[in-house]
Amino acid sequence: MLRRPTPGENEEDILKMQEEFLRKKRQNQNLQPAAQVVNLRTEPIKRPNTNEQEIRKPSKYAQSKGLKNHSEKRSKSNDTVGNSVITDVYEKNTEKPVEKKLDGEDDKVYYPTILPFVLGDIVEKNLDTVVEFDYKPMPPEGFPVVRKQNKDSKATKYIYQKNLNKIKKNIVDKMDVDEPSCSNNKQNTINLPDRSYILTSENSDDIHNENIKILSKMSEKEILEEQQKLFSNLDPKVVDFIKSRRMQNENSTRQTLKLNERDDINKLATVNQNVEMDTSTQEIENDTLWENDVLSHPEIQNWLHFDSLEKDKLQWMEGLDESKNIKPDEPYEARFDFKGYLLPYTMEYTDMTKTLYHHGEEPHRPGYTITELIELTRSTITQQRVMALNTIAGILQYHSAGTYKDIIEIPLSKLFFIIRIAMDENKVIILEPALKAMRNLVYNKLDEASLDALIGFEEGNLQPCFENDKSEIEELESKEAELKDFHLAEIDLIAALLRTDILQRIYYILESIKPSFNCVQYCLQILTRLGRDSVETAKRICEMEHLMNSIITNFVPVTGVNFVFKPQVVYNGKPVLAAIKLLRVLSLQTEEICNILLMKYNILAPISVYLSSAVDRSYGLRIQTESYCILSNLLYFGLSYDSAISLCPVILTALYKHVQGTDINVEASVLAATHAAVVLQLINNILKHNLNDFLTFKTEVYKLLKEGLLKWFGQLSQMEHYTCAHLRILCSALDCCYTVIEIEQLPVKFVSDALKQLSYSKGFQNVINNLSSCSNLLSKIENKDLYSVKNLISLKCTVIDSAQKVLPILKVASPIPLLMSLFKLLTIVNQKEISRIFLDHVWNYLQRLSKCVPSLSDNWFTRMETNFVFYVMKLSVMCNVDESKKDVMYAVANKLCYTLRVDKKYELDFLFESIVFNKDWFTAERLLNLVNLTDADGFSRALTAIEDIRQCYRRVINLNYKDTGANVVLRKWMEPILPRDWIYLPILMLYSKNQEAESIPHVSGDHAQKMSAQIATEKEFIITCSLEWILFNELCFSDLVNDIDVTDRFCRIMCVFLCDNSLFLQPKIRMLLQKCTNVLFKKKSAFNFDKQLTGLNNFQDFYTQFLEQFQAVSYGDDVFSACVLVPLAQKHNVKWRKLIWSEYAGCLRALDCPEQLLCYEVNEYLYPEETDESLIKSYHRALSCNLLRPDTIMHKIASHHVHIFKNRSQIQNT
Amino acid sequence: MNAPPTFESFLLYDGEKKVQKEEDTKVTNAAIFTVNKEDHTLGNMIRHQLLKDPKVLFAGYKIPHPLEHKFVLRIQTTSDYTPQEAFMNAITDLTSELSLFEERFKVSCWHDLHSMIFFCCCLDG
Repeated sequence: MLRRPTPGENEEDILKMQEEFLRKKRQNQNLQPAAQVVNLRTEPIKRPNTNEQEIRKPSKYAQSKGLKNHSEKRSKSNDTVGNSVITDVYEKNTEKPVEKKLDGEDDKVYYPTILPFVLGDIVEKNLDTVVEFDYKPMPPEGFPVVRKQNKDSKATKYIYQKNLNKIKKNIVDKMDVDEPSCSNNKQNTINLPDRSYILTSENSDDIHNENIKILSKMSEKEILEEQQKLFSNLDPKVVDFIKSRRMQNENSTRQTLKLNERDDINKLATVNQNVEMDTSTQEIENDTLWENDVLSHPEIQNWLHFDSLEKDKLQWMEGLDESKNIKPDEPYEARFDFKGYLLPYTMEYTDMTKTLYHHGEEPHRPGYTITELIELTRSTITQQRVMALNTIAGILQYHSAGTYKDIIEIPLSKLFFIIRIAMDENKVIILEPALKAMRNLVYNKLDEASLDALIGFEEGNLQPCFENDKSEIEELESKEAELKDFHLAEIDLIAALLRTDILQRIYYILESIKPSFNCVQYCLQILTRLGRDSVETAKRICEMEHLMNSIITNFVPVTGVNFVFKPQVVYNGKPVLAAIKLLRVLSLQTEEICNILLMKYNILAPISVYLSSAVDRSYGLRIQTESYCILSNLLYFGLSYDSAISLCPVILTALYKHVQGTDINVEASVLAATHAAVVLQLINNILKHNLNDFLTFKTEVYKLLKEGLLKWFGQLSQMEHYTCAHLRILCSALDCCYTVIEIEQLPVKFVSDALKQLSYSKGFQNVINNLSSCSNLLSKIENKDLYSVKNLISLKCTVIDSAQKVLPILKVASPIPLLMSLFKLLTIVNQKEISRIFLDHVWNYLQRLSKCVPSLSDNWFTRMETNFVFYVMKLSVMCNVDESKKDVMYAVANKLCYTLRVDKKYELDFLFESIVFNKDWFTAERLLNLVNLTDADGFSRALTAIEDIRQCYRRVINLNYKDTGANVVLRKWMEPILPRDWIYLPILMLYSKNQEAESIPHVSGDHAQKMSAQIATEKEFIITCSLEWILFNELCFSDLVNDIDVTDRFCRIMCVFLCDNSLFLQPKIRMLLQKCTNVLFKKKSAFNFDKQLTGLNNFQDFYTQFLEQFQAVSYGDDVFSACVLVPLAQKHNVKWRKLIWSEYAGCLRALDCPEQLLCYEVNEYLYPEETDESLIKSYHRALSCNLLRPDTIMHKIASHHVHIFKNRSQIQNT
Repeated sequence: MNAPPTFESFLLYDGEKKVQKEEDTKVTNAAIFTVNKEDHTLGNMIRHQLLKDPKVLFAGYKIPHPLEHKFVLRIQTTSDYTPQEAFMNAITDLTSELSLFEERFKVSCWHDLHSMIFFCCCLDG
C-alpha cells in the first residue's frame, strides 16, 4: 500500500513520495497507483434525444461558423459525429483525438490536453462579407437565393447596426408561403401614420413598415395595452422626449413640402434655408438658452456647428436658476474657486464669476468640488490638469493656514496621492502646479515664517523636530513597511512621501528637467520640510550624494552675493535662498550630518564667500543671514572653529557697520536688524566657546558691544512704537552681554547703569504695556482653536476665530523675546535694586498669571514665555521679594511646574528647591490654615520634613537631569515634565506599578527579606510624603489644586488603598488618608462618578477593583469603608449600589463606618427611598442570609429600604 | 516555549506547605493564611463559611496574581477566639456539609435509578 500525504507534510515530502513511487513502479510494472484518472471521453458523447436532432434548429452561431468555413456540406453529411454543436466545436479544437493511445504507454494515467475556451472574448470585427443569417427554413426555389452586396451601406456606420439592419430587412422580406388570410384581409380600423416621425435614419421607413405590420396585427385594445405597458416601463423623460420629437416633426412636415429628411440635413447649411430650419428656430427662439451671452452673439449663425441649436448639447449653457437657495445650517458640497477659496452656496453671477458655473451636477452653483478637481487632474487636456492642480494647491494653502478648520474636512491623504502622481509629469507646465500643491501640502508656510521670525533670538537657534507621532503603528503591532500606502499616509504623510521615492524624483527634476525658478523653490522647500522630519530623513537626504551635489553645484555656488534677484538667476551660477535654508535646516539636526555637510560637500567654501562678499541688496542680506545661522549651528556642534576664527575680521566689520548704521526704529529695515542680530548671535556663540584664538578680537568686540548696546538702549528708551523684529538686535546684544559677564565673572558697571536708565524710561514702559496682551499663557486659547492635522505635525501658530490670526506671542509688538533676554541678563547682573524695579514692572502680569489656568503650554512658541517667567522667578528668588508678593510668586511658580517641557528639568529642579518646596515661600496667611489641625493630630511634618518630601518627588519624577550636550533640534518639545496633577504622581506611579504583573523572583533567605523590607519602607516613605504634600496643598493652597476635578482627586486618594495590601492600616498613613478624604468630603456636592476620569480607567472598573480589595484585605477599616460608601449614596448612580449588594456582597459583613467619618449624612443613604426592585431584593436577601452584622450602617440601610418597601406595597394592596 | 508545566496549578512542589500561617501585626486578633495550589473554588467557599461564623469579624481572600496558584486568606476574630480556630471550624463544617451533600446526592441518584428500572420493568410487562 502506498502512503498518502497527511496534513503537515510539505512539498519535499511529496517529492520524496513521488520518487519512491516511481522507483517502485520501475521494479514492478503492474503496480497500481493509489489513484488514477481515467479518460471517459474516448467515445463520442451520446445525447439522450438523438431522434430530436433533426427537429432542432442549429444555432446561429454554428450556422455562421459553418457558412464561413464553407462546411455546410460537412454539417449535413457528417452524421456520425452528430449534429450537436458541442461535439462539433470540440472536434475542431482538439488537435489530437484523445482516444488514440500511445504505444508503450501502458499506465492508464490520463494527461488531459487543455482545451481552449469554446467562447472567446466578444470582439467586434469588421467583416467584409456580411454574414447572412439564413432565416428561411426553405427558400421558395429550393436553393438559396443569390444575394447582392448592398453597396450604399456606409462604412461610417457601426458594424452591429449594419448587420442589425440586414437582419431587420430579412425579417421584413416576406416569405413565399401561405400567410394566414386574416392578416391581409383584416380591415385596418386604426388610423396608423404613413411615416415615422421619430426615426430619422435611412432605414426608418423599413422599421416603420415593420412596426405598422406588427400594429396592424393587433387590435386596438391590444395596442392600448401595449402602450400602457411601455409607458410604465419607460422613463417618463424618454416618453416626453419622443412625444416632443413627434410634435416638432409634425410641425415641420406640415410646412415643408414632400422633403426627404436626408435632403433636409444637407440643405440646412446652405444659404437657401429650408423652411424647416425657420420653423425650428422660430420655435426655439423663445428658449431661454438664447439669452446666454455666448449664444446671443450676433455672429453666431456663422460659427461652425452653431447654425442649428442642438439643445441637448448646449443645455448646460442654459440660464441659471437663481431661485435655488439653501436653508441655513444645511450642509452642502464644498466648491472652490480657481484660487482654492471655498465659495458660498450661491454668489453673484458676474463676468468675474461666470466661469465657475455650468458644470457638474449642480450647474447653478459656482466652483469646483474636490471630486471634480481630482477627476480633472487626470484629464487628457493639459489645461484642465493645470487648472485642477492649481486649484488644489490653493485649497491646500488655505487649509494649511487654518482657514478651513471646522468648516470642511479636506481629504489630505487622497489629495496627496493625486499630487504625487501629477508630480511624475515631465512637462514643466504641469509640474509646476503639482510641485506647488505638494509644497503647500507638506511645507507649512506659516510655521516656517514663524520659525524664521525667531531667527536672531537666542531661542530661535533651537528648532522643533517635526517628526510625526508614529505610535499608532506600534499600537497596530505592525511595522511601517507592512502598512499599505494609504494607511501610512493617514498616519504620517511624510513617511508616505518618502516611500514614493520623492528624493529621487526631486533629483531628476532638478538635474534633468531644470525647470523654472518657482519649481526649484518648491522642490527645495519640500526637501526642507523633509529635513525637519527626523534625523533619519535628514541623513537620507545628506547621503544621497547625487541630489546634494546637484543642489550644491546649481544653487549654492561659490560666488559673490551682491546681485539683484530675478527668477532667471536659477541655473545661472547664482545662489538660491531656499537651498541655503535647506542646508541650515539640515545642519540643525545632528553633529554627524553637519560633518557630512562639511566634509563631503564642503559647504564652508560657499558660506565663507557669501559672508565675505559685500552686499547692499536685500537678497544678498538674506543669504548672508542664513549663512550666519549655518555657521552658528556648526559652532553649536563644536565644528568649524577655524573658519569661524578666520572669518572674524569679516564678522567684526559687519558688527561695526551695524553698530554704526543699524537702528531699531520702526522705520529701519527689518532685514538689516535681522542681519545684525544674527551677527551678534554668532559672536555670542564664539564667545561661549571661549576660544583662545579669539582673544585678539575680544577687546574690539567688547568695545563694539558696549557702543552698540548703549546706542540701542538709548533708542529703545526714546521710542513710542516698536516692533519685535527690530528688538532682536537688542536681544542678541543682551545675550552677548550675558555671555561676557558669565565668562569674565566681572560686574559690568555700564550695563547696570544702562539697565537702570532703561527701567525708568518711557520706551520701556511701552514695551511692558504690551506684555499681557501678547502672552500665550494668559491667552485662554485652547489647542482645539488651533489648526492641526493628525498625519502632518505643525506648530499651530495660527489662531482661527480671533481678531488677530497668529498666536499672541507672535504679534508684531510682542515684548516677550526682549524681556526674556533682559531678565536673563538681570539674573546674572544680580543687583537687587535694579531687579526689584524690573520685577515691579511685570507685577501686573504675574498677578494675572497666578490667577489663570495657563493655556497653550504645549505650544512651541510658548517656550519663550515660560523661559521668561522662569527668569522672573529666578530673579525674585535672588532678590528676596517682599513677603506680600511671595504668595503670587508661589502660585506662578506652582503653575510653571507643569508648564515646563521635558527639556527643562534643570529649571524644574531649581523651582522645586527654591520655591515650591521651600518653607520661606509659604506665607503666614497660608499656614494659618494648618493651625486647627496641627495641635490635635501632630501634623506638622509638611513643614519640618519638607526636604524629605522634595527628595521623594525628585526621585519619583526622576529629576536627575543631565546636560544633553549640543542639541539644536528638540524632539519631544510637546511633552511636559509634570502632568497637571503632579502632586498625585507618586501615588499613581505606585498604583500602576502594583497593577503591572510584576513577578518578583522567589528567593528566600536574608537578602530577599531585606530587599522586600527595603521596598516596603520605600513605599511607605513615598506614600507618607505624597499624602502629606497633598494634604498640605489641599489645606494651604486649595486655590492651586482647585482646577483639578474633585472626583479625580478623590479617585487618586482611593488609589492609595490599592497600592498595597496593608499600608493603609499603618496608623500614620491611616490618619493622613482620613484627613485627605475629609477635606475632599467637604466638597461632596461635586462628586460625579459617571464622568470620564482623567488619567485613570473608567470608574466602573476602578470601583470594582476597589471593592475586591476591600473584600480581600480591608479588615473593615473605617477610612476604607468611608471611601467605599461614597458612591453608595442615593444621589449617585444605582449601579454602584447594585454592584456591592449583589456581586460583592462579601464586603457587606465588614463594611461599617462611624457616622462622623462618613462623607454624606446617613439620611442621604436612606432618602429618597429606593425604588429599584432588584436592589430591594438584594437588600432583603442580605438581611435574611445573615450577610450583615447588626448595628452597622449597611444593616441600617438595608432594613430601612426593605421596611419602607413593605409598607408601600401594603398600602398599595389595601 | 515558556509555558508553565500543566501540573503546576495543583501539585505541591517539593517542600511546599499546603497552608502557611502568619500573624497580622497591624490588626488585633488577625492572621493571614496562605493556601498553596488552590484557587477561587476553595477560597470563596471558605470565605463564605467563615462569614457565617458570628465570631469572625473579617474574612477575605485574595489571589495575589493569576499565575501564582495560591490564595491569601485574612481572618480577624473576636478576642475570645483565634483566627486559626475559626479557620479550622470553617473547614470542619465545610467537610461535613459536603459529605452530607454527597450523601444526599447519591441517595437521590439511587432513587431515580430505581424508579427508572421499575418503570422499565412495567413497560416490559
